[in-house]
Amino acid sequence: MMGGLGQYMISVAAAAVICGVVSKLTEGSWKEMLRLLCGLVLTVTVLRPLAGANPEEWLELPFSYSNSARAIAQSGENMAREAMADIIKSEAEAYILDKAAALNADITVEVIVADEGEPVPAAVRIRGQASPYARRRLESIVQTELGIGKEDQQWTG
Amino acid sequence: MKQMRLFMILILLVALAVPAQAAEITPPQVPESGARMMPEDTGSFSEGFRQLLEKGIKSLRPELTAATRVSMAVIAAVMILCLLHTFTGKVKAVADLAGCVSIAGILLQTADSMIALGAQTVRQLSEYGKLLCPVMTAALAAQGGTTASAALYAGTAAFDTILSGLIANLLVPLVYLFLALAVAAGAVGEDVLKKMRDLVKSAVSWCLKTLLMIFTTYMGITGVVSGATDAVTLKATKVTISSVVPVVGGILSDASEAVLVSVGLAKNAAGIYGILAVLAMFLEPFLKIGTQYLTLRVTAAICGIFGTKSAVDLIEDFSSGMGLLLAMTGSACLLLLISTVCFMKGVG
Repeated sequence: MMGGLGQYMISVAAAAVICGVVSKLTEGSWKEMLRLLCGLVLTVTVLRPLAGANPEEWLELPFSYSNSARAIAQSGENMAREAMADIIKSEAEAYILDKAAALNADITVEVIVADEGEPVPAAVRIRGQASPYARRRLESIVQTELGIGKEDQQWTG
Repeated sequence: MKQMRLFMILILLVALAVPAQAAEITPPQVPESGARMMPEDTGSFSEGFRQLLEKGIKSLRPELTAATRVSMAVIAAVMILCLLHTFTGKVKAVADLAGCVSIAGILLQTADSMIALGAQTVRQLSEYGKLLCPVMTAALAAQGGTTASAALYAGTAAFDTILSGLIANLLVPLVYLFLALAVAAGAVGEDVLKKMRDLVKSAVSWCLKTLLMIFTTYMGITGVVSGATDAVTLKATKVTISSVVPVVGGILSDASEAVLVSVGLAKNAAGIYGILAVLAMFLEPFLKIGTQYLTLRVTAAICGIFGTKSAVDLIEDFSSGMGLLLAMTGSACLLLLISTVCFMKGVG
């Protein structure tokens, strides 16, 4: 479309230059007749492409960036979600370790965060030594306060 | 309870440092063309801008010398033309023609290099924008502005493509056409050529003004409408988060806040770097073309005292040509600056 517009402007300018030079160079009774002819040529050059213009072609303009925009925005959301998941994982692990220390349990913890939806703790792997009482208390705390059901709590050691 | 609160605050403080590494919001490195002008301090906009201006002013001397040399040559040509006009009597038209051709000969070489520089700057700005916008879009989306970021990106990318395509394929050739018509009008002195020259000039400035007006309106409306939608969504998400299991809700809320703060900081830093990079790429060509523009204006004013009307008009037309180039590079720069600021504004 832009190439066509450029061509149009060049043809109008070329017609104007030719008409200008011709009317400058002619003298006498022919001058007025030539001026009229030049005006006619210029009018046809200017108006013909305008009359045949098809505005629907303009719809080919690049307005189709929505898909890539959504994909980039999604990558940003994922980036934020991953950052949040990292924080939640470390905070939840620190919370369990703190409770375990209060119960004299010597354990290591790995919290697994949900892959979809809000990045909430979904499962936990606990390794180490804990008395039956401490283990029961920890199981209960993890279930009620972190929302990880007993079926998702994996104890080893 | 107090110990618990202290513990949570400590964890939050540690957590604040985590997303800064996790969230990779790094602006694209300034291209070679802008590296020379890029300020050392890119952390603060005001300090960076000051350094940028200092570098710009220091680089002005060679441009002024070159422009003055051209100006002196033009003034000399106009003086010779004036003498020819006084002594040639009947063949004044030939003297006008020769004068216009000689002035055009002096100015066309500089104009050609300036047009090439302007077109190259627009292309480089557009390419840099294509790298910067996705970074800012991702950062705004990470901050919760999903709708606004997608809409702003789509708008910026579309308008950037249209503007750079329009400048490369239509407006730059039109500047050449404008200069050609100006030389023809000066040499022949026909009204129709002058009118065509003015038409081309109006067409170029109208295209740029209209495109920028539509772009700023689009960005303004999108920013407000989508920003408000995102703010409501963000608030609703926060309410939902707080109502989850008590401790998890608290952790989620803190983590969300920490991510928002760190992403916001990273996004602002990337935005400031991006703006300074865009200005660094823009400043040198702007000063070069701007110096030519002003020098030609001054030359036209001096020549106006003793020169013929056609010669003075021709010098003014070349100056207008430089003005059109300034408008083109300025539009490309402004488009990127506006979009970056819109991305930086954030949610709400």
